[in-house]
Amino acid sequence: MDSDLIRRAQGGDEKALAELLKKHYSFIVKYVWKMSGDEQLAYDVTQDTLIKTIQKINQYNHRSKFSTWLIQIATHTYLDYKRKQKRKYELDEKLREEYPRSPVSLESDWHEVQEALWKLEDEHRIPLVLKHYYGYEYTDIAKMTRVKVGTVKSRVHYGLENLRKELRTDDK
Amino acid sequence: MTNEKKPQNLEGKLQEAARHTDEQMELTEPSLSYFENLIEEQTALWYRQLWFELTCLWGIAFIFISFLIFSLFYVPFLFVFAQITSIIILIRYFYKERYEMVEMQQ
Repeated sequence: MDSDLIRRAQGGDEKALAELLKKHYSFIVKYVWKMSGDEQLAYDVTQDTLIKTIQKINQYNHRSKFSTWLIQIATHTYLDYKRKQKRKYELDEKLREEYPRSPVSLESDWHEVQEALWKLEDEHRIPLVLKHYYGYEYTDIAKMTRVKVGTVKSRVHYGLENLRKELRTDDK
Repeated sequence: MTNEKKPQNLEGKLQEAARHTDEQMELTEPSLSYFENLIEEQTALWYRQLWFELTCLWGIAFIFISFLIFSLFYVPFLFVFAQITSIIILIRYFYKERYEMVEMQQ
């Protein structure tokens, strides 16, 4: 279904491209939101990702999944945004207020994990999200983030270490 | 909790956090016409950029061609001018040399 839409979109069918973008819209917003913790930024980055997808749809070569390609564009767009803004990333207060803390329990305290994850540096958080939220292989993450596989592995490792430290600090 | 079990638990917690965050996120998804308008807008922008780039390209080509025509027309004159200048310099040189020789002989 997706590949048919993509082929039609690559052939110049604007309707098919619109359908394709609509289909993946939530996926991109959720990915950027989970990665950044900033709702508004998620919508802005998604908007730019959609524009880049429209401009580069003919460059998609069907070798990887379309969603993987979109994540790659979204990640780079997000990093460009961060570079432009040059400001320290802030936690999404709205999300924090909306879902109040539950009693401290390792099994149900998911939002603490999410908050701790958002406190990590981009270079650790992005591979962690891709690896443990989306289940991508290290090689895929390396391609998406344009770094070596070994670097991805070490970043995931240090990301987990930092996350563990962060959660321990929060517990105190 | 042992050290061996910690990473596995943390990964489990991460997956749980991903699932919950996914469920809790309420998105406002635009209608299909929004995407169609966006595509139309981008296509129009692309054509505008294409026209601008083509205009720039033709402008530069025109300047270069004009310069080439100018050079082809005036290069012979430059050559003649260079020849005349070198002849004048040579005549002056020989005249000066001859004058110095006459002085030495005297």
